[in-house]
Amino acid sequence: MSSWFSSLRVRLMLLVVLAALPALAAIVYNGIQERGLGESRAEEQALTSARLTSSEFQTLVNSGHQFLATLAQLPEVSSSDAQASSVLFASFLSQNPQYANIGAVAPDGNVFASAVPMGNPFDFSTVGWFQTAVATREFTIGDYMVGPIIAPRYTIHLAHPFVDARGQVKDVLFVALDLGWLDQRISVSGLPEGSTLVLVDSKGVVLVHYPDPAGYVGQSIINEPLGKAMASAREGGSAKVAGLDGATRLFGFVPLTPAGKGPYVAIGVPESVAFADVNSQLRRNLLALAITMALGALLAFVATGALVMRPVQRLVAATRRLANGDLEARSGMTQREGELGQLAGAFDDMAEALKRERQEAEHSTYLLRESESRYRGLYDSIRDGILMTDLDGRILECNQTFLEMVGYNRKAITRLTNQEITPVKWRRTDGGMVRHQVMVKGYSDEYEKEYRTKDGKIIPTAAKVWLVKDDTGKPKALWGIMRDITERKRTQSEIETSRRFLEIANRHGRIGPLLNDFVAEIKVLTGCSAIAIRLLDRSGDIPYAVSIGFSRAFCESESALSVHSDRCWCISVIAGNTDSSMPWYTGFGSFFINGTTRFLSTASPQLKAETRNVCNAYGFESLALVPIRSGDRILGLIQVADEHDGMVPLDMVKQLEKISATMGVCVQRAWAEESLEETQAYLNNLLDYANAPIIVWNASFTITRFNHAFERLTGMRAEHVIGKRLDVLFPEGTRELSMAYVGRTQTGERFETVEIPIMRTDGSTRTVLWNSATLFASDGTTLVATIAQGQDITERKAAEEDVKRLNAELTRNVSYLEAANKELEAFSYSVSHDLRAPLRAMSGFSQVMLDDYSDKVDDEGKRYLGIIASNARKMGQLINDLLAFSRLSRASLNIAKIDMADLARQVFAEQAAAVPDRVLDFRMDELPPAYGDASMIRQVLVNLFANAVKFTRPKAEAVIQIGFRSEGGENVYYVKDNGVGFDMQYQNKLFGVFQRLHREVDFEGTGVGLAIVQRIVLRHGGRVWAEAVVGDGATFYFTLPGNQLR
Amino acid sequence: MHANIVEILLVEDNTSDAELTIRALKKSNLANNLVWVKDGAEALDFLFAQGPYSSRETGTGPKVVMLDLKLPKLDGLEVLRRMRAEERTRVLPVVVLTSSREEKDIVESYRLGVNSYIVKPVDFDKFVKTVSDLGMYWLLVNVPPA
Repeated sequence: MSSWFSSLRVRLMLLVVLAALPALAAIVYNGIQERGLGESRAEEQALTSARLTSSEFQTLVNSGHQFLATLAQLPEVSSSDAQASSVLFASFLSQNPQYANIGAVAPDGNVFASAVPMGNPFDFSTVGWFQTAVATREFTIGDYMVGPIIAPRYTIHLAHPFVDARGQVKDVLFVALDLGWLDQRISVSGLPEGSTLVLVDSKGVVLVHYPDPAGYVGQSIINEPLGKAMASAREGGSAKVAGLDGATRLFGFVPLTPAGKGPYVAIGVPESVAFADVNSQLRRNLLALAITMALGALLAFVATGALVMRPVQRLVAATRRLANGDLEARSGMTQREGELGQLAGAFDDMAEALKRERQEAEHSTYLLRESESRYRGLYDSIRDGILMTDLDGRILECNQTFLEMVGYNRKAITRLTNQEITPVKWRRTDGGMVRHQVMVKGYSDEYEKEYRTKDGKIIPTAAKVWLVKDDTGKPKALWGIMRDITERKRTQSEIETSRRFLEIANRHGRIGPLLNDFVAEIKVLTGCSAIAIRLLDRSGDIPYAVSIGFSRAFCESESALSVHSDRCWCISVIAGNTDSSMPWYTGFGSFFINGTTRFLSTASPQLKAETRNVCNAYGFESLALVPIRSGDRILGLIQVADEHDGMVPLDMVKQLEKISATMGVCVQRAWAEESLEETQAYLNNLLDYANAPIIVWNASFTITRFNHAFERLTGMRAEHVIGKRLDVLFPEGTRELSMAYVGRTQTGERFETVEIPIMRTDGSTRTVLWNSATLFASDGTTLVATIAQGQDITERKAAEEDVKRLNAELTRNVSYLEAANKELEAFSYSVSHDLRAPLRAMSGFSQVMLDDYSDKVDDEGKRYLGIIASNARKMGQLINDLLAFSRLSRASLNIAKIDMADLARQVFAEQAAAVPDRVLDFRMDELPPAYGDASMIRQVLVNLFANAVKFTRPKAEAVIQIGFRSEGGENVYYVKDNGVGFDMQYQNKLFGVFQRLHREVDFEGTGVGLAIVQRIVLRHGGRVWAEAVVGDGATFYFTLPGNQLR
Repeated sequence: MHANIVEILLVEDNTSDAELTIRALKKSNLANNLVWVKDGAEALDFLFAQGPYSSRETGTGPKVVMLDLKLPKLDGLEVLRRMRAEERTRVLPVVVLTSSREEKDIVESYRLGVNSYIVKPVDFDKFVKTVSDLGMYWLLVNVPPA
């Protein structure tokens, strides 16, 4: 871009010109529009003119028509008087210059009258207008015609047929319109110059042409562009076509007659005429525009100078000033509207911001300096020493604290290395930290190291080191922060001391060894030569419990002191009688003195009298007496003494006071424990020598006690068992079960009577019945121990087992018995059926023999048959008895109260009735009622009475007695007779089934009666026995229950 | 008496007992229309006219059944139970004639609807008398339902 173009002014001027371009375009567009408008206006004008001309022509034609019509009415004409008519016509012609001729034509075409005298008759029968007029009987306009009468004038004829009353064309009147006259009359006034007027007839022959008619009239223009345009617009219209002279015009055409068959008028206006106005308008507009643009550019030039160039130049100037460092430079423009205003505003803001920034920067620098000096102060005054070294340990700088820590001045330190002020044993630590931590992660953990000061003191520090890197990230230097931890160390050592004392205190031993340990620790702590602990006893004496470094003589002289009678420092301390306003007493109630000699030399006599000065006498210069306290109570004191002065400074005493508290608790506890031990020993004896086996186990089932009785029970020794798990007591087979059971005590359950077997050392197992109690800690939930007492019930258990076993056996036997009974039942059933049938056959058929064959059997034979029959009968009896007997054991008992006397009486009466021939002496004692099955007891009496009656048979007078006696709690009934008796040596057979003591021939019987008696009595829970003397009667005893209890 | 009319059905497996029973009845002229069957099954066949007795007319007696209890195949109690379950024999008089004195046999027999329970005496005279009395009673004295 050339330089002129970059000028703002040129650009603005260009802009003005550019701004005018739309106006130019509008003007041009308007011109084009106007041209179109001009054209149509010219066309319109042409058309209007054409219409005007046409109407004028029409008027001419109409007036011709009326003229002819009027003529026809004239008598000269209507009478077709040729002469008169021609005269008339000639007179009219002279008055109407527009007509070239006036005439009348006979229907045959012969002109019979004419205004213009005819040399020769004219025949118009072939002329178009005449033919049309005759044919149509209407007014007709003819075409272009030259002559003929008036040749060479060219005319068009107007013809009016004169129709008579019969409707016959009588003649045709005509006038010849003089086109030459018309030419001269045709006016183009009002039309632009160069306009043309053309009148053509229906055949396209030019009738009139203006201007220059001579050149065109009579010519046909059918083939001209104008003619074609006219032909295509018969109704009239406009078109832009070339005129007959070849120049393009805007034509308007109008037909003269409405049907369009007549002549046409065309009026053409030249194109140039149409556009002339438009073009001149355009030119005017363009000129005006050009002037406006020039003015605009000029104005722009001037305005730019005033409105743009000046402020810009001011801005430029201000910017230059700003660039040159003048921060006060401003645009100086107050207008803030518009871009320039904004630009100026922005510039001013920028300048202001720059100014502010500069001020802030200056302020920051000020602050930085301020802060640096402050940090420098902090750096130097911070409690931690800060040290910077290079990677080789050369000291680059350090803070004041570090300098003070190591005792060098700033100048001296920078000539040293870190190694040089570090004791040898810590250099390795430093090196290791740097290598393994600082170089790896950029800093070290805190670690302990020591520094050696300028005067050789060792300072323990907690150090932490950081790595410093240069801009490229390469390690450059090391920062170290060291905190002096001397105090911390001291505290640690104090804590350590306290810890050691606490450790001793927690040792739970006898008081003597504990105090020994304390004394030894105190000696280490204080560095004093003599340490002692003195405890106040119940009588108020304070004997030496433990001491080291005090002479025997010293101790003896001191031990005798009593709080009740003596006065000394130690008495004051132990009595708590210390005045803390005195410099030798502490608030805790300790006494301390460094330099007894010096003290005594300055003490008042009164003060001297307060003490015995024994310590000083034994050469102790330093002395401290610290009470041992337990709460408010003083239990004794710690006595620390040394021959040197200044061995017990106040802080040492303070430390001892702390220790004393620990010792107080410890002594108190040790005393309590000793007293507890005594109680425990008593309880132990009680437990150990108790008769019952007692055991104690703790929450983890470890046996903690095992008394002598338990030792006897198990054969184990307490010392072997204590400390072992409880399960050593239990036999292997039941161990798990027993432990599970015991485990339930851990939840607090108590055994009341639980059997748990115990294994003895000899391998046998004892059954022990346990009861237990659970002991909980004071919180009520933590199980401490379970105490259990056992009772050896092995024997009892064995007895129980025997009973159980026997019961089981019995049950088994009963079931055997039941089975046997069942068998017996089946057996009896068979017997009752099957055994009797053959007997019946034997007795039956032997009787049949006697009945049917008595004639064939002799007497001896008959006797034999009788024997068969009687034996069969006997056997039947035996079977019956046997069945009765066996039924007894099966029948159930219906126990009820039985009136024995009544029963005996009835039964005896029945028996007696069976032997009416006998003399029977029946005697009955008073019989108490018995309990039993009445029918069975009746059977007993039946059998016994029957026997008595039977066996007294030989006696002439039978005496049968039933009696009772109560013997050993049993109700004994007896039946006595004076019969034949029996030999007591066979009494064992007496109650057997089928057992008999007498021959059948002497006394009949089956040997079942007494067996039945015995069976019944036994079933009633009683017993049966007999006494007899051969030949002198027998007595049968049986017992029955006297009440319902079985 | 019509030959086809059976008056006594004796159910007895022991031939000796049967012979003695029949002899005792004969003495009283009561054994002419007696049928002797030897076990429970045959007894039922006869009574229900089935098996070998299928041609028997059921309307022809017996008037009384003398039934031993201990029988082969079906025992007496079972025969009694079947008879009482059957409409035709529900009311037919049955006399148990047995050696058993067992209480449970007696009770069970009566429970099943026996008309009489007789223990056969071992003694022949007593036996003859008992049987003939029995025959007399049931055949001549007792009036059965029409």
